[in-house]
Amino acid sequence: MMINEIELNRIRENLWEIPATGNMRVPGRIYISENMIHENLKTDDALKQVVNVAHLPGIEKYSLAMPDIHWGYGFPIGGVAATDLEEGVISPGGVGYDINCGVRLAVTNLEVSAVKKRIDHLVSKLFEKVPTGVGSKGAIKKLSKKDLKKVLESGSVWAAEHDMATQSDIEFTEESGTLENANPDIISERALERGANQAGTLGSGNHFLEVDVVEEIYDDKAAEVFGLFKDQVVVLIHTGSRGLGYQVCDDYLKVLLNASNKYGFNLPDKQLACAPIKSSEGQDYLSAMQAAANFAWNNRQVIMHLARKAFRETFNMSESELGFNLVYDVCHNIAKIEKHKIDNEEKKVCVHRKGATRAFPPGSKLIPAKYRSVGQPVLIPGDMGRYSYIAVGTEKAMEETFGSSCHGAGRNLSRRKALKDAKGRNLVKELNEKGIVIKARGYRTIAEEMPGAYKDVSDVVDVMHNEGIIRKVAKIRPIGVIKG
Amino acid sequence: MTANYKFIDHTADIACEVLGNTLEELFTASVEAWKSSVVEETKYGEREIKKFKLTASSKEQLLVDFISEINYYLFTRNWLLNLVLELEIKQKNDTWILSTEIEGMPVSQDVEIKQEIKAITFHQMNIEKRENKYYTLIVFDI
Repeated sequence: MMINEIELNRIRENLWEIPATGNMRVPGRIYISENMIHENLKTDDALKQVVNVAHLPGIEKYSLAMPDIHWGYGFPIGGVAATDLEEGVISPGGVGYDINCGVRLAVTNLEVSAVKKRIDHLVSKLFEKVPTGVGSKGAIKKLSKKDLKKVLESGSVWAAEHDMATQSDIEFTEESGTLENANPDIISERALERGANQAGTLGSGNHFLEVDVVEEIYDDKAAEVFGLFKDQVVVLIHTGSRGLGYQVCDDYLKVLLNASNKYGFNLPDKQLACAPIKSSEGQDYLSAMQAAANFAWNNRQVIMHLARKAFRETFNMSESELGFNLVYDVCHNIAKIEKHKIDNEEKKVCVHRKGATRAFPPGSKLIPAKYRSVGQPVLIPGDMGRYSYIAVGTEKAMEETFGSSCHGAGRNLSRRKALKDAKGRNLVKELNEKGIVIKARGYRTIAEEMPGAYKDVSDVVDVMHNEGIIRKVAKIRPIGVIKG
Repeated sequence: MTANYKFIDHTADIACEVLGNTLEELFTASVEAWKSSVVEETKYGEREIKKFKLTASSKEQLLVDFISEINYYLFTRNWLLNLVLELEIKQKNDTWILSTEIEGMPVSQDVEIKQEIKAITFHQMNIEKRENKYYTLIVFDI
């Protein structure tokens, strides 16, 4: 079929290919249902962006997109591309402004019946402890430059050294919460200034902290390994590297725009600015991005520490009674050097995941030993009024998507339309009637982020599950939300 | 002043079309669009003046840098722009140079910030002449 003048050929039920034409170096491949193509892909330029990414020097196999694909900057959101380390490039457009935006899931020993009675109090306590909203700051003392650089170098390990993380928290974070080649010395003064008082802050927009209940279990074995049981209270945290990450992206877009000219790349979109991975510009961006990623892991860790405190104070429980344990922390905006099989040979490539989650299979040495029998937890948040999913990675993901899957629901309505839809409604009351208590800095955020503004995440998850890229483990439903 | 801007629908972020008789008007209108995206009508207290100069390799880069600078003042330095008092844009060989004097104030508690703009993007930005006016689309990532 033709969509926006781009040819889409069906490969399987939910897998479509854009043939390589013109200067495309590889074909495009999109995991999506036919319905979603008609509903979502006709109205924006996301498909064109899949085509654009296929122009990147050194791209391997396919320019990929997950079912939550939508219009991004450079890459579409939901875009995945691996590039050769010798001939290929690295692009900030394949990572995004919010470097290492990601999600973490923690489980408690509490059941919904015990929490429901105190949910108002708990949500207020969480809101009091975790700074939210535009320019939120002050969760912990403003970091000195020395400490900030340590965070950029060591990620969550900094939190552990300051009694804000347990060894188990570190173990169950992707990359153990630290990318080792991060270089804080190439982060601009402005980026450092933007990040200095934002460690442990949620920020605004679609970032959130949710108290959820495990509503349905699809895979008993994996759920048991992850420590999940029906009616259990769990916590989901979604945020990233805050102003520091945005500034790093901004700074290096400029550097890589010049580099694209210097290396003679003729790119279809300025936001695809890139440099050869092995060039000094490419290496600098990689190290700066890794530093920002470490900042994000530390940020989510500090928030988890604050949330743990809020739970303990609300329920007057010891740490062991509460059992506030991290299941996993995944990033969904990142470029990583990983080994993948290409033409039957294992080689190192740079995998860009922009609004896509790593989904490594059972047996992978890169996931915690405890999870090797079932695979890596893949966390896929939905909207604040419906549900989110926990899944696991599979071998098929390694074969087809460089070990990647979808990352969320994606917006359905623009913020303006959402505000218009919210007029005259009491969304707080509507959510309350559904058993969800919400607290936010302003009503505007609640209106912009209302459930109807998002697509149904189950459509997205079902595509990946049915194609065998992930396997569903559990569905969780929110009972308490805090937002910016 | 004939410079102008118009917001257009965008699913995730903020997009606007900007027009100006001159580059200076286009840049000023762009900053006004930025301002109306981040704050409601605001009463200005004690005003301060800032002067700065920027250089860039293209006029698009210069526009991104200009709004980014003002965005940084607000979201990192808590200083909100009110007016662009003076603005001059020149091209010297391959370099674009902007000199400006702006007026604003430190942000107090009663200023309501609507949303944080993460970054000013290059997405579909192309400063061109349309019917004798400068035109561009700007997308703010929020």
